[in-house]
Amino acid sequence: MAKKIEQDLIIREKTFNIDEAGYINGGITCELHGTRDSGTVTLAFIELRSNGKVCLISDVTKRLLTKADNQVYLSVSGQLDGKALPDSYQIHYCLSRHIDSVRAEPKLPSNMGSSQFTIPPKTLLGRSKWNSSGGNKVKSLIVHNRDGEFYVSGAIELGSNWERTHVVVRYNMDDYSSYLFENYKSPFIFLSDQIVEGSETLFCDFSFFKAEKWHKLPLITELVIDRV
Amino acid sequence: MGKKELNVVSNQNARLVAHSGGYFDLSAEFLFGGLQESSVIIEHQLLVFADEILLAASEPICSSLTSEHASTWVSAYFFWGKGKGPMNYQLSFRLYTEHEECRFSPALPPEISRKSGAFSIFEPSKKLFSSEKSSSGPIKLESIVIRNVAGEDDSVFINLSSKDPGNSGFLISCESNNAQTESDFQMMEKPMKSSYSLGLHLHDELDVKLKGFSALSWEQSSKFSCPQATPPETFDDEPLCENESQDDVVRISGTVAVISLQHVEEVDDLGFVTPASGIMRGPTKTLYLAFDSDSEDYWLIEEGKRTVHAAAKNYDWEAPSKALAAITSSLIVGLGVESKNVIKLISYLQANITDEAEDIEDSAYTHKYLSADAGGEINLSLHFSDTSDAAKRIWVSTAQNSDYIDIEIDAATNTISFDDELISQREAIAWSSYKTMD
Repeated sequence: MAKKIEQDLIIREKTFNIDEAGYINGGITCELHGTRDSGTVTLAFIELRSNGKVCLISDVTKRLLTKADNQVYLSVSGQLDGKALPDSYQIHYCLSRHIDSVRAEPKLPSNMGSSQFTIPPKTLLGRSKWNSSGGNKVKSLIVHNRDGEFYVSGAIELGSNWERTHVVVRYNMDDYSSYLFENYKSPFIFLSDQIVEGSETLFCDFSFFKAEKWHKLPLITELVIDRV
Repeated sequence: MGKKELNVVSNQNARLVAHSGGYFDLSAEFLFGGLQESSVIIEHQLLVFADEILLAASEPICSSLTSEHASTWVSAYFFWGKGKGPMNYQLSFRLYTEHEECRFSPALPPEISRKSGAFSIFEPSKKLFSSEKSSSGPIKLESIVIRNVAGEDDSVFINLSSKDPGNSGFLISCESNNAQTESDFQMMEKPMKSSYSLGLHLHDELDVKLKGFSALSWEQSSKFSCPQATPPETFDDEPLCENESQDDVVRISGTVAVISLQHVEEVDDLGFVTPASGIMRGPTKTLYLAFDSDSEDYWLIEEGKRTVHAAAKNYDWEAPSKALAAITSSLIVGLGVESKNVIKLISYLQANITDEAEDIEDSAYTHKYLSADAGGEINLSLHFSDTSDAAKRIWVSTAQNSDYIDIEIDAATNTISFDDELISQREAIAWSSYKTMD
């Protein structure tokens, strides 16, 4: 069993301001310490409070954090003033750990304008080589050669823990611009037309992450809001 | 529980359209049986198979079914090259069961004239033996934020929490002095969430209702064979207009709707806006849809680019949507409307232009008529809790005349002339209830 790594989310910077119409804008930069080599998918949001009452909740920010890039920026905005002016805030976050990866090497179309559809190769026992632990399966890939660039579409079926599963897709190992992070509402995922620079080979790495419980950082009661 | 027996009994009107470049658009209408409640909410997704291999899936979206309208349209847009081999499709869906609603009567803050207004936060009693019920199923009310400002720009939004965020949703409604407003169904998706702002004029008292929903498991219908692929419909090939075709200039008497569309990608500020104003950023498009009161034909003009004529004798009441469907590719490429959402936009525009209140209500757009003194704008803060709420949506503004006026259409130059001072008799702004680019 892998050793549990302590991971801490730390608030680095924060700014809050409000204009005369009562629009609040806030931004908080957080840093994740103890990020695993395989990265950590991080979901986080801000809860604003006023006199102990919840007054506004931000959207969720989702990012794959790595040792080299371990910061996530959260923002919140809305109309609150007077007796609803926030005086404290709390960060809620959920970390997802890497559970398995699948590498798929789809067939490539040779001519511009053509495409290739690839289904998973099988093992000797008839099992798909694109199946991952947790019941997550890459079902098919289609690569379209458009003017020398590859447009990749793929279908994935997640296992029974689909609602706690995140998928990071990376095309060709050195192509960091192709990092993708997807979070889904159903067991069936369709990645449509992901653009990858044309090359002789194409490796599609699907990394599956499993979400742990949501946590809260301690309530911060010193919230300074600048009037602008 | 009877509602668990909801099932797909048939599908009809399936259509597979082969677009250029190897892209396909599959749409079908699914009819449900076993509906034992007056209305239910379902979430659904279309799965497409090449032979028996999963090839594509649409984004999951929510719809409401009633015993009178127990069907829903779904569509998926995907690449399949030359489209070899048989294709099948099936509907994946899950039902949301509703819980007993809870009601709250928060006190109103005083009406004040300060620009930001007066605020109050209502919080349900946290006493152990309080008779006040603060949860509806998995959804718990954390607080209600009320903003009261002199005039009619009051707003209410609600902060909620859920222990099962991936499988729960909610509806809220607010009523004050017989004025009522309610939210669209929203999924929680995270442990805490602020609802959209609901705008209504507060007076004397406020009654807030919260109804929570829990999702059941995803189920799949049987598989159905895809119909033969057909090319997309084009209307450019229609004869321009039989009786005036000798002359490119057509003169009619009727109405003109000026339609401004914007795929809003970013919003700077929750102020007063109209689509295509500087506050909202994203590609825009302006169209003119002219109605000929004699023939009941519709003319669509995309200035400088094209003129489309949809004759009532060919298309009857569907003439406006047929004219709009002719610019589908322009909506997809120029405006970035996803193919699966084009039909929703066209359906809304048809309902709006023909003033069909029920169809507007049933559309995938939140529609707000503007008063004469609104200056063609709405206050975003009354409808959205933050700028990201308002962004990633298709926004529409329409201005239309009610009285018939003289209109001149030049199909050679693709231009339209009319007295635009008469055009603001019926103005509305709308935004898609679905998010784009998610």
